[in-house]
Amino acid sequence: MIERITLKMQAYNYLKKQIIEGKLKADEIYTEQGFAEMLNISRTPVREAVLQLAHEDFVTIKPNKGFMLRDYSAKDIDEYIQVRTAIEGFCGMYAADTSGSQKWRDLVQTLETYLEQEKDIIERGGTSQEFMKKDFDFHLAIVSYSNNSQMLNIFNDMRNRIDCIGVKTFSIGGTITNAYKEHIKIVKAIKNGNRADTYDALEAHLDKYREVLDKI
Amino acid sequence: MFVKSTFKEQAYEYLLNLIVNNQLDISQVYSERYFAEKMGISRTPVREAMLQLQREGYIQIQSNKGIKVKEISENEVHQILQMRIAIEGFCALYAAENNETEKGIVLCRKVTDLLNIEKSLLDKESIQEEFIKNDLEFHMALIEFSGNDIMKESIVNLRNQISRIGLQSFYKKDRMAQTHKEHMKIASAVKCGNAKEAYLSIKEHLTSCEEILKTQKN
Repeated sequence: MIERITLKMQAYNYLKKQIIEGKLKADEIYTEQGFAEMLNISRTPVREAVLQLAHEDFVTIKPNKGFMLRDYSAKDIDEYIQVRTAIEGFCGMYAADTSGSQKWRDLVQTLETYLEQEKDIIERGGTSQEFMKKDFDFHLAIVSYSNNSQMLNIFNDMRNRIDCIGVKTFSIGGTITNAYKEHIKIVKAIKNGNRADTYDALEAHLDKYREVLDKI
Repeated sequence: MFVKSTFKEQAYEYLLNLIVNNQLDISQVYSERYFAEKMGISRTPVREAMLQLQREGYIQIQSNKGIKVKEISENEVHQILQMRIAIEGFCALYAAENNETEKGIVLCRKVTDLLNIEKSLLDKESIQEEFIKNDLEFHMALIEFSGNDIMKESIVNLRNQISRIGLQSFYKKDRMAQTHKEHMKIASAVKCGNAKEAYLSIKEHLTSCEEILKTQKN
């Protein structure tokens, strides 16, 4: 039993990674048997992994055929961005509200370090992938401020989904610089302990994803 | 039209009901077979229902033995309420910002009606169930306005988790009157289109709920 659960988790982690990294094709029907053979395990743990991924809305099951990558609609993207706005807005405001505390000082220092690193990437013409990594770190730092594991899980989930829509958000020209400027605004608001400005800055920043995603 | 739900869905509803109504013993391990026999269905749909309940945070599956209901710690209560503030705060803010749209006007009317019902309930006796229903409708009205299904599902789960702690303290007369006041503040902010105030009054309401839950646990 224990071994089977581990095999299921192995299959799950493998499939999820493939999905998030954009390695599965949108129009193709995949079979449990195919992955079972590839991973050298039986079909049962693969089926359970696929069921979990279907429940989590990463894939859709085609009865008697297999499964496919889930089709994301504009509404889905809207929802993911709203959820991020809700969570990051909350955490950002929480940070602003606790201005003056040691924890707040640490966050501001961390965020300012990330800003410097982002500036460096822009100035030396670094890749959008590099910037995306820093962007992730930046947002993760804000969400982590709440110490709320549920929020962290959902943040990661939403981020994965936006990533696996194959969004190379920052490969559209000029967007990295805009994102950087928006990050500056967010940090400034948190530094000033201004909750309203923090929320507005985060909301405006995340809203930009929608614009960019629309273009794809 | 009758919708035939699958065995897994039936098992899920059945188990969820037991959990939310605290009819399962926290210290006991329950097997798949136990529920399968009780329900007169096979173990497979029971197992799938259990997997979903584990993902949603209600239970822990212990390999080879069965399931155990998860206890909710004080820290988890805090985290749940924070999540609700984040989501419901967003929804109230969004509703306030859209208060003058066609949908917004409908929402404001609905919210007013619900609060009038709530007020009338305060003067009656033995109205706990109705009060709970009305409270749920009030909160869900604001959430559904956003049209965000992820948020809706999330809140339903979070509310279920909270109700396991027991909601007795919420249905004392003076607490119900206080709840009504807090709801009125939220509604007022939404109706006036005051987004920031809408968010803050949600926060205020849920923070005061957390205080009640803390005293209840002890």
